[in-house]
Amino acid sequence: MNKPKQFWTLLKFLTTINPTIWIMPLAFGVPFYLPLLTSSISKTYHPGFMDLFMNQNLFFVVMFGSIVLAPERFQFGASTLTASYSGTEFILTRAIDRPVLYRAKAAALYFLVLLLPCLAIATALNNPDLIVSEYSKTVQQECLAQVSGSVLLPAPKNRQPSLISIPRGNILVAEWQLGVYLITALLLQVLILILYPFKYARFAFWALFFGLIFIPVLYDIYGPSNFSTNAHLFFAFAAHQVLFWIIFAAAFVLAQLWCERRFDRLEQ
Amino acid sequence: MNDAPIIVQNVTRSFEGPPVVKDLSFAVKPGSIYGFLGRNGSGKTTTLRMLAGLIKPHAGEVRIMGNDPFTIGANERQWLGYMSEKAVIPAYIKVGSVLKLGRDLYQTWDSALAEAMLAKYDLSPRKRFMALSQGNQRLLGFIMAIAPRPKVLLLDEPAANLDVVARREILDDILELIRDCGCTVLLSTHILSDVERVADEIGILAKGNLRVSEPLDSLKDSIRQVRFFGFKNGAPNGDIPESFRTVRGKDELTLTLRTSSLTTPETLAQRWSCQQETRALSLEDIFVELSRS
Repeated sequence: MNKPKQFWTLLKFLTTINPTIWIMPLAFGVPFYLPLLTSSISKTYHPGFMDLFMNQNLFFVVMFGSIVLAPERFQFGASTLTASYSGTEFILTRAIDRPVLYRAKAAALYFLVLLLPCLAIATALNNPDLIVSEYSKTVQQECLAQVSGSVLLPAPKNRQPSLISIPRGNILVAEWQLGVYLITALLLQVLILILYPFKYARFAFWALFFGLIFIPVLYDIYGPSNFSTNAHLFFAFAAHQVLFWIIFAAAFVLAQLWCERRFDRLEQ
Repeated sequence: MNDAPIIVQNVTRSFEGPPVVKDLSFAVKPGSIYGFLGRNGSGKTTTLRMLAGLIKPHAGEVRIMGNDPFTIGANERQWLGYMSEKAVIPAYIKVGSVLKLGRDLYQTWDSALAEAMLAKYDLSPRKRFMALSQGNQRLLGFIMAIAPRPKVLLLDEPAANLDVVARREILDDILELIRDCGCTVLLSTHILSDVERVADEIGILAKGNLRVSEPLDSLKDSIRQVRFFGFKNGAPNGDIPESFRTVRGKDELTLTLRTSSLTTPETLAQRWSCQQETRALSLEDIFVELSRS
């Protein structure tokens, strides 16, 4: 069987292996696909850069990564259901090439996790402009300096101006989310494959799992109140989009090749 | 040995502790069934996982049709059938989808055989794997291993959780496969009566060491349990031939040993000036004696 046919066979198998994994993208995608269906919800206004991003939903990436990529031995308990969640041992002992299997697994992960930001981009195309409320003068200045076309809207008398208008801002935010989800998915794959052979990999994996879920949330809650790392990165992305997409593409290709080669050599 | 489809040579493997298998060597002749016996934890599954290419030996080498199973790809895996001791098929997948995967991946997939086996074992293609009984889950695993018409078949406890009728049918299917395409089978099991019915050669693994590896008939003919008693000069302390198991009682000595032209029970009884009583052992007796030793 040629490799492309093998890849599609495996991808189809992996994406239909467990129907329950489709529930989460459907649930978390509601804010993105509902406006597409109803054209009724406006996404033009955001109460600040802190709330603009879906960082809190990074657990979505981690959750799917663990379902699609983590080997059975990362799971606790030995029930049939848990042990055969991903079916790695079963598929590895069929007539497949390991790198092709890994590529299909990674594609299944990308397909699941990038669905949400892709829906966000589709929604943003209908409603591209963004008005965001930002009271921090430092952040305002950084936004105006780096995001081309952004302007500070005039405020009513005796009020400090706080509304920034960003043309195509909703599309930019959704594209940035796509990049963040992609990098998180890559990082997760690399970490899983580094941990794979170690004795305490199972514990390290679950520490990583909860860390990736909670650290961004805790950082947002307890981090510096007038400083949003994500907002700064977003401004940098807006200012150097081509450079960022080159970095994302290079990271994607290199990480994917590394992961395929490593998976090829790993024991189960 | 070099043309044997399954070769295990001086293999040692451990998992963060003492070796699970130690310096293990055996080969399975083309078109034969090798019964691989051992107690729980003796290293059978580890050996089969190495042969299936899931793990690598720490020392020595394993070969399937002359290739390292860990490095082979889709083309070489076409002729390798493997059935795990665990239920490793994804829980939510439907029986029909599992078979479709097999059909798509294997050029030699025998759809007629798969359909016939589904009908024979009364498995519905619409049922999800998790909805099958444990026995039927084993049967689906067996169909997935056998339907590609492999040249080498690795079966790890295929008959676990099966009723007697299904067990018999599985054994008949294995024999039919060998008759049809000269498949070479490594059969790991606890059910000795099954092995006795179908195996050409037997390997008994105890604590990671292969205690015997030889044709079933020769094994049953050569291993005897001999009770020596009525010693005129007392039971011997030294000068005891190599045996699998030695049990000393009051004025008696029981040895489980391989008889040969040099060490027959009669010559030993003559040497020690005693009487002897020789008992032929069934495969189960041999297995128990060798495993306990």
